[in-house]
Amino acid sequence: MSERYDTIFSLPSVDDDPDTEVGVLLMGLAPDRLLAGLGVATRDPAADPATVTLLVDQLRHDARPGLTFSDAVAAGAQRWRVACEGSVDLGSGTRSAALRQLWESTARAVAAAGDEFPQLSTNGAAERVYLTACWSRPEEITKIAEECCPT
Amino acid sequence: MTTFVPHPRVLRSPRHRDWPRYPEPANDEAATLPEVADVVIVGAGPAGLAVAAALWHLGIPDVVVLDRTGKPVSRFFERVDRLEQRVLRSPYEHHPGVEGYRDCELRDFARLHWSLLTPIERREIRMSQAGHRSVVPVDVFEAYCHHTAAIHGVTGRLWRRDVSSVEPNGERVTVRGADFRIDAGQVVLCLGEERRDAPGNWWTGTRPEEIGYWDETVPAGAEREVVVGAGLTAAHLIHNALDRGARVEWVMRGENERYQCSDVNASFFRAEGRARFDSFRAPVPWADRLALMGRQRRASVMFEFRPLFEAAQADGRLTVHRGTDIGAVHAKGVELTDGRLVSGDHTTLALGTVPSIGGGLMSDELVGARDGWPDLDERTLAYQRAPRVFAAGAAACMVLGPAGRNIDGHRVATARIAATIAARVHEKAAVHV
Repeated sequence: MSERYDTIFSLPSVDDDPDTEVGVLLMGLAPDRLLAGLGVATRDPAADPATVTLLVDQLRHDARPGLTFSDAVAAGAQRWRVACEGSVDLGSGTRSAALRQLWESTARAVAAAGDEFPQLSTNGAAERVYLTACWSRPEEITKIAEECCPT
Repeated sequence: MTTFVPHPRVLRSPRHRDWPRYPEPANDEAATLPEVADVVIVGAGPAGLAVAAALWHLGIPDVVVLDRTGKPVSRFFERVDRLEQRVLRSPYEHHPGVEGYRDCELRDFARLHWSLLTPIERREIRMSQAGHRSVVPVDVFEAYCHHTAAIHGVTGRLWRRDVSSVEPNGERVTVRGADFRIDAGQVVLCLGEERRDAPGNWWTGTRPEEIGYWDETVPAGAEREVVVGAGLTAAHLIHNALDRGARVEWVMRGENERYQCSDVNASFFRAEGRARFDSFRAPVPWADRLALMGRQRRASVMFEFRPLFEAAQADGRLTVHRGTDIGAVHAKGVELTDGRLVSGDHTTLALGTVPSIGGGLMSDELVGARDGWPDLDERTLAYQRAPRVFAAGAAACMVLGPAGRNIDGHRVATARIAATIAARVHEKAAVHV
């Protein structure tokens, strides 16, 4: 969006893909929340990333009968292990201190790899976004997956 | 110097857009209202919601919330919608959620719904992220309140009831209504504010139908409307009337319109501002607080209205009458004390609000009202003469300053109240182990 004024500094774009805004936000969440989100998203391909994120918030507060946060983390850990099978290497991509650039490059890499590696193909927007978020911090995610749900 | 030009377009934020309805935990409306509870919260507005959420995090599950509407923050949004208000001038940092527990906060909640926001609304978020003043769309705030209520179990512990009395009795407090009685360990009154009525000498007998208050419907077809008041409510009434094509006469006692970027109470949001009221560190004489409240709690209008109103004045659709008291209000309009008659088809009064301080529920002796404010323990916000009953919201203004009535003030009040309640409940539990 162009502005006629305020020339002193510029703010981040407001026109980026909404998934980028959500993705940047997810990059700041604790790894167990990302795994839980991945688990919820895998179970519900029709869900959007915002719905999954808020549902995980409900699970963290024990506000949903029938599903616990631990269940969701376990489901996410399982999905993560599948994604990592075969030591998939997406390359280093663009490593940037700019979170939006980092997100977009990771999202492109994960999407492109989905064509080559079936375990990285996703069934819905939320699964894609959460898998990307996990892939942006693979060591942390693998570690927490092992801690929460040992193989 | 950076000059921020207000966006009048923020005032056009969409309302009631197709916001996703997230799966909410079931609310068993048929559930029996408990007869005993650790805590009863009276009022499920922003303050009540904040208290309930904080108690959840402090491990106090046995909470009953009573509200006249039976829905969280319902009356708040009813008022907002009556005024056709589209944004709150509270910044994104002010919300009824809980800090310190990594809950989803309001700004992140808005960012999650990026695709639903207009470019103007997104820009406001960017301004907030950059540390600048921003405003929050009502749609965002409403959805966030529902989310906060859902995750903290408020929805399932909220009953639609009118409370008629709160009776401290030793270590317990009895909360009564027409068809219920609850034996509570502690009670938090989150009563909000009621509209301020006109002085008794403005008309005699029954109020003419051509005179209304801001929370009443303006009759369709009014072509010339008189609006009395100087605050944000008056501004919305004027804005709406102009939108309908009416001519507006704006009557205010002040010498000038007071346009502000944020709430008039903003200078009291921070701890150093509150310290001007709060005797937490050093005593602040009551007279000094009263004087500060008189000076600082002045009506103001979001500056986004300014270009709209100036344009309306320039083309004759809006006339502002400043600096004169009102002698009378009648069917033909408003008589000023200097003899002028400001005429209109309908006059709407927006004279501010009066905090509900607990009178009517508790005896005057227990409320201990002084100059219209309750006698509260400043560290806990408990009533001095009813230490198991607390006040949050506008009633706490003489402790927390004018910001006590703002959402940010609710959170400060909540922190003190919830910590006190939790300490007592946990202490009692430890004794019984």
